[in-house]
Amino acid sequence: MQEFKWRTLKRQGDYREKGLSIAEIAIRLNISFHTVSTWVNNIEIVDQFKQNSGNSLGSKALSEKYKAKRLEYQNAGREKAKENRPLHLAGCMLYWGEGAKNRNKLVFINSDPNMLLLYMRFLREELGIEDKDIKLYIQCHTTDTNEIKEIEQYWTRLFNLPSNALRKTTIKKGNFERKHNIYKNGFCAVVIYKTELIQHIYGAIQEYSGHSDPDWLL
Amino acid sequence: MVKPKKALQEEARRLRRDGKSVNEIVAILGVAKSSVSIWVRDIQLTEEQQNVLKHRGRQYGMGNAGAQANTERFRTMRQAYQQAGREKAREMRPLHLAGCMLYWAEGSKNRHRMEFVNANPHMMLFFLRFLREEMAIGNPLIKLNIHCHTDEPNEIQRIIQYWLNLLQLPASCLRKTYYKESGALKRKRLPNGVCGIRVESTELTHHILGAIQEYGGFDNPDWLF
Repeated sequence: MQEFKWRTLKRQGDYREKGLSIAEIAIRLNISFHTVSTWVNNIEIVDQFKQNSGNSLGSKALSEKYKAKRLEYQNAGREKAKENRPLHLAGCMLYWGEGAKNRNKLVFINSDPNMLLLYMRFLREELGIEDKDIKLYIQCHTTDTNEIKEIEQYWTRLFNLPSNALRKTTIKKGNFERKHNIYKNGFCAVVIYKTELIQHIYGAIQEYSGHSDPDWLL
Repeated sequence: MVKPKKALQEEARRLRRDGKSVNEIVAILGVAKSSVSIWVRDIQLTEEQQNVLKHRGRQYGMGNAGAQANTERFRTMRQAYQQAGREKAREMRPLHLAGCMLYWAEGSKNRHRMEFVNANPHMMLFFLRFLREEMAIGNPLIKLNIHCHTDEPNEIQRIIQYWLNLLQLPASCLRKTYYKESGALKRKRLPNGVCGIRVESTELTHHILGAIQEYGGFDNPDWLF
């Protein structure tokens, strides 16, 4: 089996050097895209084989358009950062540390109620988020239905949110007895689906710390 | 004139029920300690009586007094450090606020050690600026722990140099560098490994913890440890 894989790998290398795309190699050898991707991603493609076909022009234009939009949002964030409002600064720094670096949504997960409360204040007072935009995904370490209900109530009451803000609660896998003792109320993820907001925060973070991270334009 | 043993026995049991310790009974009645022990060992004391005896005993009483005083003393000290942090927080300096918030998110919550670990070079630089400008921490106090996801010596050297150059720290700051073999995915995601800044200072740690509580407007007694 191992030997077979090595032989295929070698063939993949040959194909890749000839300029085949990962999808083409995968179809030709009848293995998964992912496997091919991890095996050949260190092979450089010679310039003359780089595909620049016409059928992706439309999507390229679109991606340019949205990139410009995201840049605009980031600049708005930078403008706001120049006002030097303490709560805005605090929220952005917390997000830098704990938040997920997505392109189109804000995800902030934590188990510390104090930190989440401050983050909530930042969302409501500085960014003007309304309750209906906030979604809560709770992760807990118990299978007891009553306890899960209690945990859900704990978080909604803490944030003063209606119960329809709750999304499906995840029960963590594995041996969670010890974790259950540490994280009595599980974790709470505050999620907001808004490209404008997340890019606003990225822009503000860069302004506050005085750097520029092109990776965040994604 | 020695009292008959039977009477003594009953007297001892009565005293024990009142919550006296074996030694006290011995002192009152003047009989052997071992006899008293045998006479009264089946009597169950109430919780209150047990507590009284426990706290009078050597283990909980004078023998431990020094340690208790020390605990109290250092606790007050930590409280004072946190108070100083709160005072500083009221000045509302942006860099101080930013550093504290980053520490709340990424730092480890130890009692005596300030430790901040991250792979993002911008964040490390910013946090170091906070340490240098707001907390006046000099290079000699800073210790650097680097974790690499490779075991090639050249690559490890490169990563060490990368962080030293970036943070502008002398090589004397370096502590042991950890390295482990990892998959291609991890290497790709963390090409420069992970860098940890450590400052062994109770005062600094509690200053930051106090400031965080002031900024967040809450009180977390767990952080007094």
